[in-house]
Amino acid sequence: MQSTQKNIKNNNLLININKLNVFFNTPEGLSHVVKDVNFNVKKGTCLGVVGESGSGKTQTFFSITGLLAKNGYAEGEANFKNYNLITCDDEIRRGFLGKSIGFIFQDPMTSLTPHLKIGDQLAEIAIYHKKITKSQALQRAAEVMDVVKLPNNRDIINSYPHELSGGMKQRIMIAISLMCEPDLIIADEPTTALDVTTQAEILNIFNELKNNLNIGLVLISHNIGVIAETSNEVLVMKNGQILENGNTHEVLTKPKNDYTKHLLSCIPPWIGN
Amino acid sequence: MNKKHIKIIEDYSNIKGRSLWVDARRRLFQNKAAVVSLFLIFLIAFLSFFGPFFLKYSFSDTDWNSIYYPPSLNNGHFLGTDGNGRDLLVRILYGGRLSLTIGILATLVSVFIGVIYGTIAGYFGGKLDIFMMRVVEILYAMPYLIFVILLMVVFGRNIYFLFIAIGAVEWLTMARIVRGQTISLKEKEFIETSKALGQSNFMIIWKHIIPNLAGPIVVYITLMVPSVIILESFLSFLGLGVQEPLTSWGVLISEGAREMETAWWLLIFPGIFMTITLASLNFIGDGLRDAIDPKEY
Repeated sequence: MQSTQKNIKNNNLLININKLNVFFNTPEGLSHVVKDVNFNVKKGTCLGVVGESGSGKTQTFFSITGLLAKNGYAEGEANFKNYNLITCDDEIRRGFLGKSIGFIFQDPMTSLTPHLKIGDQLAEIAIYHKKITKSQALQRAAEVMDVVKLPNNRDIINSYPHELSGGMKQRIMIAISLMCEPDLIIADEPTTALDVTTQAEILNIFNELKNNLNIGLVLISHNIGVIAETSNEVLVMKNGQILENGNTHEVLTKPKNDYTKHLLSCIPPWIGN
Repeated sequence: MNKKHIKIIEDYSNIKGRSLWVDARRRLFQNKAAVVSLFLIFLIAFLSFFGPFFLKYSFSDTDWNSIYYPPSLNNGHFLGTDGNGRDLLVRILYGGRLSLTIGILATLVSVFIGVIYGTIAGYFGGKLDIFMMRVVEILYAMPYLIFVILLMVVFGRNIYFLFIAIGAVEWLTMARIVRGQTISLKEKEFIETSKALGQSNFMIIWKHIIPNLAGPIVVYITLMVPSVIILESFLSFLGLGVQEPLTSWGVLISEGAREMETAWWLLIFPGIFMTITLASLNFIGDGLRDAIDPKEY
């Protein structure tokens, strides 16, 4: 029984990160920001990544998607669909980005191009990756806008980014990453810039994506509450190293590492468990 | 896909056409100063290109009976004549043809080169940027007069090469402005988002950087057209540009300035035409800058 479950789990493997290191060339010398990181993301599950600022959680995923700053470089393996995303050609990686891998940024207010209409921005990415016509792309846009629960699709398709609220923009960002039916979505602090009620709605959408569409989700956050609500597994990072890795419930209820205990003790007691 | 989605798409295709440029046009037409200026520019352009057909003198005809004749309605010299007895109105209209064409064509040439050069240098940065900007600085350091003279010597004294020569000089500042704007734009999150969505560099420059540059570019164009018109008159004065009996506004004004104590109309009337054109261009530039920014309503 257990072995069959393991097999299913292996078939569900989406991306495997093996001995990933990230370095930055700085005037003071080489800075080692991510140190020998290993982890997996499976289909239909959510991996939460917690850690303080500067713990390397964002840079880990920037290195996978080739978004590192010019003075940074990565070593190691990030195996995704038979390619190593760290060493493969830019062209191949670009083929995956936006198509199989969606990336959602922290600040929805500035992530949309100000002079393009929402419909055009949604359609653009599908036209580029799937080589479909604009009307097909707009049909797809209307579909994904339903998935992220945006009412009045027609009005929104025809509006400019500055006419929408922060929560709506973040939904649009999720919709854009859903346009090409991705396998993996990386969300870098997707709720940090939003208020608590909007945050809860966005997390609900994430839960639906992973349960209904079988998408593998990576949720980077410094908010343990957010991680506890959505993720199945959790990575605790500090100084570029993974301190603790495992089932979210287990890590949060029985932390083994001192730093994790410390992190959990920072949650005010009246918020509860 | 269900019926609701199809309905949405049908609705969407029914209201198509509200693109950025349609919106911009609507906003431009709400700006009264810009509308009046547009009307004046079109009026002056229309008169310059078609007016001479309806006047009885040609731009090179000499009327020996009326040399330095002041403006009057009696003999058809509505704006007077110059020292060679040539009708001033016809000469202003002919000069307008030339000045407007040079102003617009040379500006287009320089915007074309400057925008491409500036976005490439700014977007890719690094060594390429350093190399490209040093080239611009070397060209800046070169006296542009020598540069223009060289071009005219190599390609011959053709009026079309005057457009290219002026454009080739004026693009330097454009490239610098565009590069600076591109550097600040490429750090914005929406460019990062486009990269994370796997778009190619060309697409990012074309769809996400150049449209966002439209504001500064348009403002600079409206400043550039007047400076090109003035540069042309300077080159013509040195005998490198337009030659007699052809003329341009710059030439007319510099000739008029020499004789303003005896024949004031030779300075005043070309001056009025040029002033109206330049002021209108400035108002249009202001209006366009506001109209292109979708946040202005």
